[in-house]
Amino acid sequence: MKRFNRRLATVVAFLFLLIPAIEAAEQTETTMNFAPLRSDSMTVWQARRAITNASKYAGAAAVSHYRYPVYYPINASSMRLTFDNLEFDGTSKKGDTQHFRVAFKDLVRLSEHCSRYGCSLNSESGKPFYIQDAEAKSYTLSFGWEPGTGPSVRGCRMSMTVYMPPDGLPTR
Amino acid sequence: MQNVDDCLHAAGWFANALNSLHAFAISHPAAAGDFHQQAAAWRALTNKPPLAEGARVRRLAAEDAIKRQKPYEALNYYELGVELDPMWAQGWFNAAVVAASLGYYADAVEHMQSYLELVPDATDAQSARDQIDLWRYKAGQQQPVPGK
Repeated sequence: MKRFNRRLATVVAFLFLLIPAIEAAEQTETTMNFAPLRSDSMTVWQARRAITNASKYAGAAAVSHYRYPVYYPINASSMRLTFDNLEFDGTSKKGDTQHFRVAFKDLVRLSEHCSRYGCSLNSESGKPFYIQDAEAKSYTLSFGWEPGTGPSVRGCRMSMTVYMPPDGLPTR
Repeated sequence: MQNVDDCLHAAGWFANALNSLHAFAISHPAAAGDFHQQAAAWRALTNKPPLAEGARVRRLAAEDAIKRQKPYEALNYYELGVELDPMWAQGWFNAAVVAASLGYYADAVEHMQSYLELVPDATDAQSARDQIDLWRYKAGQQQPVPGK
């Protein structure tokens, strides 16, 4: 019991110490997602929180692509993250909803590429980034960031879209 | 064009997050199962090994971050510590408390469950279970922000 009381007192004192920092964090919620930590020190939990926080402000891209006439803007609130997978739903212009799953072990390493209009993620090898739906069909997953208003992090809007390649669907 | 630098930062952060999860999935193909087995073996030990050096340094860094009122840094250091030494029960406990104080209730529940798995008979085990129930309730109340 003494040990518990000691620990409880420590936790209470600890939380008391944190209060000013938490209040400050609440005032700048969106900027605190970018804590100045080295990328090689990101834990799996921090990575999950980073994706979850960014996804909260993600918009469904309402753009077409001449190479990929069928596309599925992702419903950010449908995203589910585990240690192994990222799952989400995308709904096409015709109202067709597909469920997608990305196994992290199957991911390729990604890096950001920017122009004066915004940024996107590409595989470091330069190859397209494919994911699969429940029927093992392959699609291209696209992440984009561009300056804009509305739901955003630090004035930067994120979009996530799944593109269905035209004929000749690649298979894994 | 304004804010492209911020977009670069956001995209880079997101890429790092996905790359970290990829690296973890490759290096820990059955993370949950591994931990259960390791915890059972650790509980059976009569003499528990000391905290791994890397985790000890992260503990010091976390405590320093708390003194500087940097709870996000503290949480990251505690989580780095338990990644390095998953048998660090106090690290799981502290990570849970800090995560909950920052509103990351789902992570707080996971961390406190790991603590309980290591020390199920701790004197504060019932209190920890109550906290888990409370955090689960709060996590359920957190509504996702609708995308646009």
